[in-house]
Amino acid sequence: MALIIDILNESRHLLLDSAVYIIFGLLVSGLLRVFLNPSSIARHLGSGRFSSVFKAALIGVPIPL
Amino acid sequence: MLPAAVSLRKQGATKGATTAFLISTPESGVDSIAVTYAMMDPVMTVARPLSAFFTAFVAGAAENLFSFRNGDPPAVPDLTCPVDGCCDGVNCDPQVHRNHHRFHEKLRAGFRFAVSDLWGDLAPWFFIGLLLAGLITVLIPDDFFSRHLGSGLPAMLLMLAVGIPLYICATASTPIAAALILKGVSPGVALVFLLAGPATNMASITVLAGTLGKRATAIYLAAIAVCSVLMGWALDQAYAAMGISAKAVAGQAAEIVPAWLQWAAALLIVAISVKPTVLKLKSWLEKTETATEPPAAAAAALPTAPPASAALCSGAT
Repeated sequence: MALIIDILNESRHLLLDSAVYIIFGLLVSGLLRVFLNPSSIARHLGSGRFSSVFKAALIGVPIPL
Repeated sequence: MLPAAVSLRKQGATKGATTAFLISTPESGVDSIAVTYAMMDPVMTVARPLSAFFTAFVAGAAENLFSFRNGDPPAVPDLTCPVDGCCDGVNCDPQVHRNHHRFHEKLRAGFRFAVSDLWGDLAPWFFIGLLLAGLITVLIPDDFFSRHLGSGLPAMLLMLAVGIPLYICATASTPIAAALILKGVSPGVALVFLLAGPATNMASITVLAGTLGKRATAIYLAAIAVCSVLMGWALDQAYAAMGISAKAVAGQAAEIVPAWLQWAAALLIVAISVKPTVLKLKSWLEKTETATEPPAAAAAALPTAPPASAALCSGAT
């Protein structure tokens, strides 16, 4: 029983440490969704052997899915 | 994730660009970057997105080296309105469409997406990740990994073997990696897990084979395996060169946040997680029930079954 409480305590610590950052991340994700829609970026990814790859890799970094 | 990549390919993105997007999107995102900063250290916070970009570019460039042709049909972008789908954007001038929605409407649509769609998918996994991290922290002795398999190539290969078939998203894998680092796993080995875990799973490999073909799938897997290990090795070298240990700074980034704010944010997270977690648990329970039913009933349930196979079919045509 004490073991379970220890485990939950550690999980709670991690949640407290990260909660503010998660909310920040979610807010920015929401903005990205409306202002940088994954499906509307396709027009930049259709030409160029390496430039299309460069752009796709770069755009994918901030987008969470 | 996968539907977005399948639709990119259908809209005319090159195979390499689709591959790159399919790697850098799950391996890194603003949410997982923020969580990494909270749970680990600034070096790791930079290393994750950088490695994701590098892996994605290498895989995509390797793919286009083989498959790129200049005569490919031009891209046909999907311009459907991201706010509420009010128009498909084809016969709608962007200047006109810009005035369809006010700024605050766009904000509200974005936040609704973040809370219900994005966090709705992430929440159950994130809490599983938190519990696993708690389990590791409590049950594994502090010097366990520094004595067995904490660093070096064998440990990285083990992380690949665990991470490639596993389905775990970038945000949910973060607490697990933080707990492993605290127990003496080297940051490079943890990075291999953070890269290979989210980038691949059995479902995504199947869909990829259907959408892009077998050769592209092989390139994708090889690039992830090689680049993850390479970046993990480089990260360990970087820590050694800077003379800092990841263990000493893990989990200290968040101490600038006041306690009341931490609690308020945590309560908010729990509040928006209840509904998606309950729904997810329910669907898992129903799935296990279906699995134990006689074969006839299971066959009848098939047509409604996995969207992954539907995406596979539409991608193959």
